Amino acid sequence: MANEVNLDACAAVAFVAEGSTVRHYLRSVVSGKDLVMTRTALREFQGSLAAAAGPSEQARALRLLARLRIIPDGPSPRAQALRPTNNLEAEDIIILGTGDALGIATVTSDRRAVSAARSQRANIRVLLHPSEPLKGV
Amino acid sequence: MSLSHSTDGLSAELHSTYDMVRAAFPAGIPDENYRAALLLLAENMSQRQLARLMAYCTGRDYYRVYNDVLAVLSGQPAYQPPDEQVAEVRRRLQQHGYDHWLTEE
Repeated sequence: MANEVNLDACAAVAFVAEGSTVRHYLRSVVSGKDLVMTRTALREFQGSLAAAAGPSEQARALRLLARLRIIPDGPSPRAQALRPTNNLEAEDIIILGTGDALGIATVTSDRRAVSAARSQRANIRVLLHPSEPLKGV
Repeated sequence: MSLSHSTDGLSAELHSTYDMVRAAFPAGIPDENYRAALLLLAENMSQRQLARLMAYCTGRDYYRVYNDVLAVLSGQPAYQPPDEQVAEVRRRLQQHGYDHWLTEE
């Protein structure tokens, strides 16, 4: 389990975006690790693809999804105790909290959500990366 | 799209931010101010909360807004709003408590 990382939807977007400036970094971060993604993050990723991805990005997403293991949402008790704020949404809590329950890092670009969880004393393990949008290509 | 006084369907934790945005843009957020508003509100919002709020305020698709949030936050020049738009939106938000809002958790 310690050899797994939990991909947030934004990380999956950064992986598949055309001309991604952070794909190389993400590959190095997850090298040798198994990738998991919560059902909530999967739903967001698929919604993002439907709304904004082009054919190349869709094809890259299919290859990424074939490498992922989809896991049920299951946030840790300390994550479930977090209070939603401007900086922390219910789905942030589910995704970060599921990684926390599994004792694995979540790969995300959402620094605000991570800081908000930490300010509520939930020091959740994360691997932060720069944001990258889909280009529609 | 003018902004309603109602917050039906919006999470409770976003109500005060919505009130600030509505006060600053009672007739709705003009397209030319959209990216500047994303940039400034991202100073104190998670990516998803910002996308939820702006989808609610503009009637745009949540996932498209989420992608726009990622674009603005990428720092890539192609997605950055012009400085004059940022200044205009900042001024309007500051008239309705933006500086205090930035200090809220």
